[in-house]
Amino acid sequence: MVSLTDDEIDQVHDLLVAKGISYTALKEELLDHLCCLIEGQMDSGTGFHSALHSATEEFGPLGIERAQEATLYLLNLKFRKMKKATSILGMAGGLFTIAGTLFKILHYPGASILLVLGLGIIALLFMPFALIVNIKGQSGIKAKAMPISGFIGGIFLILFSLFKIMHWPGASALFIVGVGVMLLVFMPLRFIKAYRNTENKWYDVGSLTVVLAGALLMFTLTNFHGYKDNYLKAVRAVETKAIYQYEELTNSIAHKSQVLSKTSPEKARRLKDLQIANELLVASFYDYRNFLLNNQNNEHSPFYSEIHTASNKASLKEYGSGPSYLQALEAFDNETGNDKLSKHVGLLKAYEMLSLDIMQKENYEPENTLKTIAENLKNLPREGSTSANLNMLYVSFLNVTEHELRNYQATLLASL
Amino acid sequence: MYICPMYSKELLRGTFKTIILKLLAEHGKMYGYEITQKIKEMSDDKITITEGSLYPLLHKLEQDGILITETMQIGKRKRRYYRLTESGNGLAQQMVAEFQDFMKTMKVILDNGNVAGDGLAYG
Repeated sequence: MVSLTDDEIDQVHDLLVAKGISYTALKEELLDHLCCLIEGQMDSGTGFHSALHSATEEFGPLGIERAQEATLYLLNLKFRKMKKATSILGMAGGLFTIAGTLFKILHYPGASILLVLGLGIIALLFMPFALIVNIKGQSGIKAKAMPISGFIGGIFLILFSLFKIMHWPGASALFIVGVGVMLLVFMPLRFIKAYRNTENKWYDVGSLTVVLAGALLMFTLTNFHGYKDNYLKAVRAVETKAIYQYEELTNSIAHKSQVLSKTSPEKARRLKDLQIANELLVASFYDYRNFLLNNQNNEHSPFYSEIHTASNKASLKEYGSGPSYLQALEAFDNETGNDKLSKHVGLLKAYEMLSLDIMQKENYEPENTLKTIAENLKNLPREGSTSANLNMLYVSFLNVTEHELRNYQATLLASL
Repeated sequence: MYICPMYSKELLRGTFKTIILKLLAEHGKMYGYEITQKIKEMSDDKITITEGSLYPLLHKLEQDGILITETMQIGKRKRRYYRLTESGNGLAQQMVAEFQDFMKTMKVILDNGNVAGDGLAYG
């Protein structure tokens, strides 16, 4: 009885691998089966290579491949149903999410419901199902650990994006867990696997590094760009409105001073002074705002990640309904734990005084109050001299402040 | 040799499960190659089961809890032996009995059919 050498067994094994037999249990017994056939032939005097040839002939063309196909087909009837359910869940979740994203971009109603449904289905139904599909056929904790950690990390990251979009609390915690699992468990396992995959070792490690770098880059870009674009849009909208209001006010001041020049030239002169003071103030606001904006064009400023937090502050939400804008500025400083905005309070009070002086005092000295304004302007906090990163928000407050000043002027104007 | 030399595929398709269960009931544990050789030998080369039919069937029966396997290391290769479980034993008896009954019925039908056919042909 001929017995195959280890080298010959390896050759048969390589043949099975070359034919794509990957299901281990089947590969082992097909190997044994082929070896038995070959040994049977070699007993009757055939050489190894022609015995190997006729043994594979016995399986017929594609016979070996078909054996695996048929085995997996029979074993996986239930599994295939699950796969189908998984793909349906994936499609449903994906379509809801795409629709929700489009609705969100186009500002249609119902975007949130679609996103909650879509991302919820993906994170809580599709991902667990896909994980089961993925680890099927993998044996041993080691082989399963990588897909399990990958899917768990993925679930947390999807939930993070859902919470972030919906402004639900706890998004940061989900993010930390998701990224932690991905970086500390999944990626090391993936790298180890790539490294052990001896044939394509460096190709795999190389492409993984590129994927990792790409993910980080995408994360960095989206995180800062979204905030910046939204913010600049909002600033532009406020400014357009401010310019319109400013023109209106200028027109009515011009009209009023024309009327007053006949009945009360003194009042008309004061009104012109008021307008000059106002223009000075507005011009310095514009300068200051441009200074802040130019300094903030640097995308690496952590400011962009803080706008969202800042605009959720209670002081801002209440502003307009409750306290005056001066109180709102102070409340915001209390909440953020610094004194940048309250420094505007002095400036604005000085301006109010100047306006009152101009309009009501018998003999007013504009130089004194203008000096106070100039000093207060110098005191305004600037990036670099203070540590907080909320300059863009101060720009918003300057816009609001201007708006308030125009309202104030309009009231004064009406009182004349 | 993968094309069954004596009987058509259609005829053999429903018989392999019964044959395998019967063989295992008689011989205890067997491995794949052994089963194909045994079938060939017992049927005098009239029935051969291809590897492409045998292994899918064995794996399916294992998954259904009718067979259990044990693997033995033989030199550099592994040999998977199949054995009937308790429920597999019951199923083997049941299937053999059913098949024998089926053969009786077929015999009746085919014998009578010949007579009827003759009758028709000459009638």
